[in-house]
Amino acid sequence: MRTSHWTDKVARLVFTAAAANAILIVFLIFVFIGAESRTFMGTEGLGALLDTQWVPTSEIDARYGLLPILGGSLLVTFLATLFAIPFGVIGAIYLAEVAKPWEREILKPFVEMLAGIPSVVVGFFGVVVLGPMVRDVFGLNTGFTALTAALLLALMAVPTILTISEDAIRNVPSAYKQASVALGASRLQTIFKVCVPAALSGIVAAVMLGIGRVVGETMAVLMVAGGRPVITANPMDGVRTMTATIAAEMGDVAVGDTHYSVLFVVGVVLLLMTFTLNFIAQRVLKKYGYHQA
Amino acid sequence: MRIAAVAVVAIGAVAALAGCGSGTSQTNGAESQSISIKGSDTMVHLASAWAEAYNAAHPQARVTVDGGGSGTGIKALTQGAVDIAASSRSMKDIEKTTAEENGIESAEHIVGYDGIAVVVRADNPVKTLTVPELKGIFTGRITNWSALGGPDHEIVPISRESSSGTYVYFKEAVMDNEDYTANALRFTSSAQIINEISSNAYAIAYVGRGYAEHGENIHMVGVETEQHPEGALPTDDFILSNAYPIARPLYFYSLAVPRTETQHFLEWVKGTEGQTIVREEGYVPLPE
Repeated sequence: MRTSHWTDKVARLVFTAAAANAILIVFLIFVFIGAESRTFMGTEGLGALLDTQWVPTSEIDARYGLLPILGGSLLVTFLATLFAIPFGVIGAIYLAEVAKPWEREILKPFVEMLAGIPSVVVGFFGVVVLGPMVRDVFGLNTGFTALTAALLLALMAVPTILTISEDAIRNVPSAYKQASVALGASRLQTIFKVCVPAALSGIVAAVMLGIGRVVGETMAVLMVAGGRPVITANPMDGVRTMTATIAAEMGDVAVGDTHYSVLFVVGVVLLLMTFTLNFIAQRVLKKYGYHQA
Repeated sequence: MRIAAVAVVAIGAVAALAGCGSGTSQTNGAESQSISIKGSDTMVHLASAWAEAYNAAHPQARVTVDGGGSGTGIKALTQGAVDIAASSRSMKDIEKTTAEENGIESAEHIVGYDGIAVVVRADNPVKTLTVPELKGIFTGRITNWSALGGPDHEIVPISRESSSGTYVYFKEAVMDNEDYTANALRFTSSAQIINEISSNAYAIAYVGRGYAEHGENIHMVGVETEQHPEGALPTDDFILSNAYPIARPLYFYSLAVPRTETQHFLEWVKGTEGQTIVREEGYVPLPE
């Protein structure tokens, strides 16, 4: 036993280092992205970000207003969340409480498969099928709208929301359900008055993680949202999101340029948004975990 | 357990040593037959096609191609980092000054021409437009087809994303560098533009000629000029004679006195084999 002592220590060190990598990498990303965005802060300043126009390539008057692209991200995210919550939560309730074991065994792998489809493939489906469909159904000028992007993103957020919500609902102690049924409540009443409220914090956390996925999604949005930097609340308008902006414009900017730097500022804003969402979700999940104990 | 731990440490050490080793050996491994090209993203496909064909025909040659934009390529040339800069615009005065300051004398080679086609769906009644009309559409001053002799319906202008060389060229040549309207849709690829144009009756866009030729249900809009009030199309003749206004030369920049292998490559590019590839890629070859 004595001889294996130091090997244990080495192994422990290796494992700790591997785990600590994540912290180090997140920290470094913040530092480097922050550093690259410094040029913009120095030349244009924070105030320039409040402009209502995003025209960074202009030869006449370059404008770096984040409002159009921030608004685009928020509109698409809001709509996608709106579509994804009912499907995700009701689907979770069905899988956890209603589905027979064999139904669950068929449905679960499909939901997980949905989560695994590469976003560029989802985007391709959007360009070829969903976009033209949205255009024809609503009689629009074009199918490349915030709505189209939101529908695709909802498709990608549903698996996240569904699987985590299902776990939360399953974790509701069976004593709660038994008590409810013993008091004469119907199955539907038990589900909506007992199970869902008891699992609510888990469901909220699931939705938060789903939103995090939607905010950060790039490829599908770049392909179908239309790319128009306009301030609008109309789902039938094409919009430009922050992720799509970075992906589309990074290709040809001169390193060290104001345009280059402002894209890192957009990155910082995006990072802060997803970071906050994840943080809230983790907090809620943690609280919910204690609640069960 | 012990063996495993030792193995982990050993592998780590070997990897670290190997890392150091390769770092030093690579710096002095320059091959005499290698030719490096860097620059325009518009020309990356063309340059890669040249490189592939040239490498296949000359086993000892190794032509490498890198994108990054015309400006990036020219900068690399003036710093002596590459043999050839590919550029879809001519060298700016500032760039020439920088080159002189670095003691580098450059030579310009036109290696082909690119025509930008304006496209609408085939059933669009508007068959020709003037350059000022195109400018009006893409800056957002003209928003209805009725102003151009078409139906009373909103125009859906489609542009490339700003990282595209075609985006920059169209803005320069047609719009006098004014900005695109924020209402224009922005697509990342020419293929996606063609796909949308062929199915959208009210859309209008600009793409490289090669893409327009291959699209189905697409009509190229003739550009009205003083010489050709009936509308000029981006044909080889019109592009070469400057009768079609939205066309540009494609450039290679090299040192005024290039290395022998670079010189060979440039001659090959301008020769029959190189120019056949220009045509295959949808661009216009140099006049015979």
